[in-house]
Order: sequence, then C-alpha cells, then structure tokens
Amino acid sequence: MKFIYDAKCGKLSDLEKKLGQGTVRQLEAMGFIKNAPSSHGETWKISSRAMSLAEVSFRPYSRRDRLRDFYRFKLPRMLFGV
Amino acid sequence: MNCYYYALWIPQYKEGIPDVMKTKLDQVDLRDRHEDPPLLVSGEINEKTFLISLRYTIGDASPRTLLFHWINQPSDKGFVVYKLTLDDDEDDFLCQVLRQSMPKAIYHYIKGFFHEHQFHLSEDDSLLDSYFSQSEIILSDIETQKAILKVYIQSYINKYAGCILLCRDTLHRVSRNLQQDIKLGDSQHELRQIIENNQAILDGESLYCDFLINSFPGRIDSEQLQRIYALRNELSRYDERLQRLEASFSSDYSIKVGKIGVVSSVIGAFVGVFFSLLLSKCSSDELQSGISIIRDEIKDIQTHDSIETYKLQEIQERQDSLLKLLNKTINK
Repeated sequence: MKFIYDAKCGKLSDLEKKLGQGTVRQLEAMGFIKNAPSSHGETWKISSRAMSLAEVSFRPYSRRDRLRDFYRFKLPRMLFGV
Repeated sequence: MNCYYYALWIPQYKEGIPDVMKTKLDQVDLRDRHEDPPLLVSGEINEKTFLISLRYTIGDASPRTLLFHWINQPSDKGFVVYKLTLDDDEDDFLCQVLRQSMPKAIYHYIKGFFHEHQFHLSEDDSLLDSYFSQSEIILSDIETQKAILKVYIQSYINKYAGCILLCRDTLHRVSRNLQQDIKLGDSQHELRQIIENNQAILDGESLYCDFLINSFPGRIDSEQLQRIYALRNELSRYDERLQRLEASFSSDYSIKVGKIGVVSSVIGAFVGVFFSLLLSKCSSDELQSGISIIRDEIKDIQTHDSIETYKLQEIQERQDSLLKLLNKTINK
C-alpha cells in the first residue's frame, strides 16, 4: 500500500517486479489499482478507494493532527485519567 | 483473419440472464499515466443481439471500432460469451493485447452495459480476470465450465487474501500508534474505514462469490474451495479483532466526552444561576429608579395637561365672546 501510494502510477511489469505478481493480483482484486493497456505495455494507477485509505495511514503526523489528538484524546485523559 | 473468444462473468447473486442496463456508455480515457497517449473508449450495445461496438481512439490516430459478437448461449448464471474477429493488419497495441486476453479495463468497461454496482463505486470495482480462448467457448461443456470458474474463483481468493493482509497491516500500524501515543484520530479513522471495507466484502461482495460456488456444485476445484472458505473465516476473525479495537477506542472516547459533558453542564448551570441572580438584582434596582422616573413623567404630563386644558377653556371663552359680538353686529 505504501509503495502504490507513493508511486501513484507506473508500468505494471515494474510493479510486479517490486511487489510480486501475487500481491499485484491481490491489489487488482481488491480494487486498489486500475490498469490499462498502453503502447509501453500494461500500466497501473492507484484507485480512489486505495488513495483515501492510504492517505489516512501514511500521511505525516502534522501539528494540526497533534493539536486535534491533544484536544480529543490526551486532554480528557489528563483530566479524567480514563 | 482470426477469431478470439471471451467468457465474461457479469457478477450477480440471483439466477437470471444478464439484462442490458445501459445501451450506450460514456466515453472514458483509460490511460493511467499522463505521459501516455490518451486511450479514449466509448461503446454501444444492441439490446436484442447484445452486439457490442467499441469505438476507440489512441492519441491522434483516427478512431477505430471493434465489434464483439455475442455467441448466443443464454446463461442464467451471468456468463456472456463474445467473439472478436481481427484482421492481421490490425496491429495497434489494443488489438495486440486482445489477441492474448481481454484487458481488465476493457472487461470492466463492458461490464458497465450489464452491471450496476451495489456495494461500491464503479471506479472502486475490483478488476476480475476474464476467460480467454482462441477456440470457441461452449458454456455447457463441463471442462470449459471448470476452466472458466477457476479464473473467477481465483479472483475472489486474491481479494480475500489481499484484505487479510490489509487487516494485518492495519492492526500492526494502529497498535504501534497506540503504543507511541501518536496519530490517535487517524488510527480510529483508519480502523473504521477498514471495517467498512471488510463489511462490504463479507456481507456484500461475498454474495457474488457464493452464487458462483452454489451454481456450479462439483465444478469448482476442491483446493480452491477450501482455500476460499479458510480465507473468508480468517478475514471474519480479523474483522472481529478490528471491531473490538475500534469499539474500545470509541467507548473510551465516549466516556471521556461524556465526563467532559457532565462537568461542563454542572459548571454551566452554576454560571447560569450566578448571572441570573446578578441580573435580577440589577434589574430590580433599575426597576425602582425607572418607576420613580415614570411617576415624575406622569406628573409632568398631568401638569402640562392641566395648563393645556386651561388654555383651551380660555380660547373657548374668547371664541364665545367673539360670537356674541358678531351676533350683535349682525342684528344691528
């Protein structure tokens, strides 16, 4: 997931070399990548479903996220110790 | 001139010959990368003959049309068989690929004529492999059925196996985040998304797989069958673990929010009572002073009123005397 999120698109043969054919077939079956024929061989592109999943998982932990976590989770824990 | 055959499964979970849902599909650009030339595809289907005409344009080249002829073998299990005839001089990359198999993107596009997505968006559809043969496909042939089913069942095996890996990764990542006390909100969001995804597969898309399995008893490879049931059970177990984790997350959070709510409402009540008392005291003082002001005003008005009445009487008297004088003058 991290690899396809970072790369976004590319040649299918390169992806198979990187992740293995089995994993690529799994990603296709899950609807995480789309693929299309092209003059350079088959290509792949990350799907919107995979994109939304991966964005939550792999995006950097920003200051805004820290502030939100503090307000939603850490402050109540400090106040009430739950 | 060569003929190529494709057995396409239109996913369904009830018996019935596939119906045409749309006779014309919008043009789409199938290319994945911007650096590649556009591959524009549009298609139409004849409702009676199921003949598909697929028009495509590669880059600046002139548009071409491929005709997929339906081989009339009505199947109430959702299979349609198509024949494509290609001349030897048709050698663009799409024709080259179609000589070996049907590209998943084209299969996905053709499915759009027959299939409406119930459990996900069209763009999130899983890419199924299609069954391809250079000799005519006879759906009633048992060996052909077995070969076709093997391809489609393998797609579901890949889907379940992929989802299990995703669940495992998510569990590791969320556990690590909880240990390090980072990305708590994102972890909760991620858990919810994965659970939602699992539910769509276990409760929704599995219906399609079950339909295939139940429709062809004895035709599915026993190894594949065992594997698919084992994977599904494993996915259910992972889903339960994720749900428990998410529930503990949610209940902890709800308790915290609930406690904050109770404390805030008590403080709010005290503040409310304090301000209402303060305001009522202020308002009673102001009311007293207001009443005295109003009394003075009324007195003023009454005094003013009496002066006005006196003036009016005086004017009336003068008016009467003038009238008398006028009468006298007239009589004279």
